[in-house]
Amino acid sequence: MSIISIIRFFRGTVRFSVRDGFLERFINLCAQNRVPVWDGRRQGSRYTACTTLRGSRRLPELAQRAGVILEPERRGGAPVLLHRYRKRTGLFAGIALVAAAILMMGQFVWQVEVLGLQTIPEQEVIAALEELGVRRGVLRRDIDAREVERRLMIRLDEAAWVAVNLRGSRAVVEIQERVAPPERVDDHVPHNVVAAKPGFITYMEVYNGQPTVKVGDSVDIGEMLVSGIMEDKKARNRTVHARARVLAQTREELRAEVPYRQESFTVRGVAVRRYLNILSLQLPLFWGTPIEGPYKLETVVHDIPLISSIAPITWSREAFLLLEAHQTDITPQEARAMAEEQLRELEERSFGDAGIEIIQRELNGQELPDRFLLEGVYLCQEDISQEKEILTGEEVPGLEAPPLEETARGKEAS
Amino acid sequence: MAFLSPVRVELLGNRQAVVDGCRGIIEYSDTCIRLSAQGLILKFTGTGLEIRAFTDSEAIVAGTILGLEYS
Repeated sequence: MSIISIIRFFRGTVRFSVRDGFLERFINLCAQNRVPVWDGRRQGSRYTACTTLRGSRRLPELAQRAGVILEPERRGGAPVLLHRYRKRTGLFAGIALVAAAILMMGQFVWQVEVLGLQTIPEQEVIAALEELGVRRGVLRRDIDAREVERRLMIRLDEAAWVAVNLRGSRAVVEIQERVAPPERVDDHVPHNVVAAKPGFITYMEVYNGQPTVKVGDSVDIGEMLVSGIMEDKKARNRTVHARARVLAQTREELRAEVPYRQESFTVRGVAVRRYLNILSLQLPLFWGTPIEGPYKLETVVHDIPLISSIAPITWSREAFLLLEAHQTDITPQEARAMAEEQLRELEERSFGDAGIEIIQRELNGQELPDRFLLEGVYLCQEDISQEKEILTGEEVPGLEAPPLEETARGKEAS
Repeated sequence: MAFLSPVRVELLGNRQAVVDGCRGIIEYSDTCIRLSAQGLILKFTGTGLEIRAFTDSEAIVAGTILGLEYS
């Protein structure tokens, strides 16, 4: 629909036809009297065209002067419609109410959108915005965007900059997260290297400091491996940030239990329920009885196109996965197989992620009256070094500065 | 007559002509339409000719235009 067609609709149009007489004189009279004529068609002696509602009032006079016979055919457009329904006050009142409601609804914020998040949880940002007055249902003019930006920057340490824009009924918050600088190791703070676990040392790589143990030694948890107090050629002590990689064989234990009576679930059906949400009111869009028995539920909330952006109206879909519980008894052999699988997963989680190598594995299974117990004893190799700051001027329980003779032994090891 | 604005004719192929500056219609038939402009008479010849629109200063002639003469 072109703009001209829209303008003509709002001004109103009349389709008419003239015949016989002097057609040329009629068209000239229309032009001279500013009666526009368009969409003209000639069929023999009959000429059909359209004019405006205002112009149509002069047509009878012009037709008489030109000696043509005028036949109005059709009237259309907004003025005609309004006149036709002029007694339908309820219709006009309804239109006015809807227009007023749409205008009024547009003054509120119905959607809060947060963009640009990578590590900051969205819920944290939404909660902070609600405290600062940016939430669904708030008047747009009550939100001071610059003030909200400033306060949100102060609240979120991880944010480098924040922008709050009000676009219609949507509040769009854009956040650029700060790139954290790498952690700096302060070499000037004296540290010792101690054992994080008990073990048998198989390899040592000392980067800085005075080693106090050697390969082949057994160490206990907390025992010093590399000292941060070093002696120079003139027998003067100085402190350093000791650093080392110490591999040792350690002993770990894991266990897995599998009961003989297993509970499992099978799917017996699916049920879907839909709701229309208006503010906090949830209107059901279904007929049905309450869900019975065990189930898994997934709820998704959807926006209604166009409407949700100007009013607090959404729809939600609940999908129920209906389950049926079963109990089955398994044999001890089956239970052992399941326990071994569980133990393998446990090994992966406990050792794989920490970079611990398994040298030897010993599994012991026990058939108990109601379950199968599988215990694993592992001989592992891992890095047991742990840096610990030397607290000068304070007594550190369980950690003593090496005496002079141990420092000499450390010299031999290096 | 130098002080009169000239008539402007825009031809869209041979199917439509927009005449700006015309004053009135002299003749109107299926095969011939004559329009009066400032000091000129425009004669359109062809088949199925129609005055599609007409106002106090513009006219649209539609149909199969075979010729245009000035006199």
